[in-house]
Amino acid sequence: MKKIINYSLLFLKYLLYLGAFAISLYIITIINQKQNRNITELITAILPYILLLIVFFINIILRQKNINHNIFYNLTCCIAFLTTIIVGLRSIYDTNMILNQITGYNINFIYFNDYLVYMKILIYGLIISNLCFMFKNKKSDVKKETEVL
Amino acid sequence: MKNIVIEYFNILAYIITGIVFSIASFLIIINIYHYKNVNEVYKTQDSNYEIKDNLKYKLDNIKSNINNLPSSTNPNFIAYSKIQTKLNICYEKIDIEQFDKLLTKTDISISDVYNMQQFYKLNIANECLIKQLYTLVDDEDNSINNLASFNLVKPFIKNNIDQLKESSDYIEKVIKSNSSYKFTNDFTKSSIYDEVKDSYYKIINDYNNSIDFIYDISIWYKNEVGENT
Repeated sequence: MKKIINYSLLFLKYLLYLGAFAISLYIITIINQKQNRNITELITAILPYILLLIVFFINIILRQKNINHNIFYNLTCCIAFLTTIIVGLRSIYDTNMILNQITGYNINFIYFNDYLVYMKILIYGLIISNLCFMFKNKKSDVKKETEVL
Repeated sequence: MKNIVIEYFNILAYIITGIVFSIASFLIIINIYHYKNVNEVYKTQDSNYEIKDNLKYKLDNIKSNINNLPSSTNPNFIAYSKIQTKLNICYEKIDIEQFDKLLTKTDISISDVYNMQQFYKLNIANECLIKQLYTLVDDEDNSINNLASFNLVKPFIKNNIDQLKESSDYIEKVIKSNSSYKFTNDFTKSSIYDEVKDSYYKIINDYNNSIDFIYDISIWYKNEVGENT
């Protein structure tokens, strides 16, 4: 049972990551185009996603089970990405938020901009905790393995 | 020593993950609540149909009142023609398809209230009250000011326009702020102000007062022209 939850959360984590990254990239690119912002602003907004992707690749390549099979970490990742997707979809489709109509872009940039700070906090938090989880106690792992055997 | 440092890193990782978990959970819950709050729909009551019928009835009467033209022999023909033209423009700005659509809606959302407020601000307050009726009071060539009966109703027109032109501005400010999480909570909604329902009735009330006001001027115009024809 625990294994099923583990693998489903792991799969969901990567799926939601793609969704959150795609929707953030779409909105931020349109904001930059419409408001003629500098490309560096786009990069600083996307940078945490790229760093997190690198960290995820390291997790997969090095087969770090203490991260990949950490239910709490995977669940936190899922909730963080789901929040980004909800905020992104609301910025586009929630027309009852009046600023969506007023700006005339059909995307509520102001609402998404308010969330950008939280998004960075969440993703940098996930990166830092992932890096901290990478330091594992080899002795305790050996002990656990011998206990299982 | 190395083990202690590794344990500290592990604890730190769980603390940071916990903080991220708390913030993300808070944001997801507040977003769901905010969505529910912003997408609230108010179903109009049967009594609203009376108000709407009354508004349409008054608009029809305004039309028939301003259809009376002053006779060409009337010494104040130019002044009355000016008044008739301005009232006619007023009527044309208000009695349009958009006005009917706004009034016949049964499920009112916050964006409908905003559209009603914008219609009031742009078509009724700006185009009719300020651009047409207020200029009657400040007529430059004095042709209208020479009318003795108009000078009697002049303060009434001025005072009413001053009250009506900005009466819904605070609603616009409240509605515009609904894109942030600071939108009303249940306590303020139940005890102080319901964004959708109360704003809707305030704007309907403004429509009613403005059309009543134009209706009164049209009756005055009809009586004046009727007497002089």
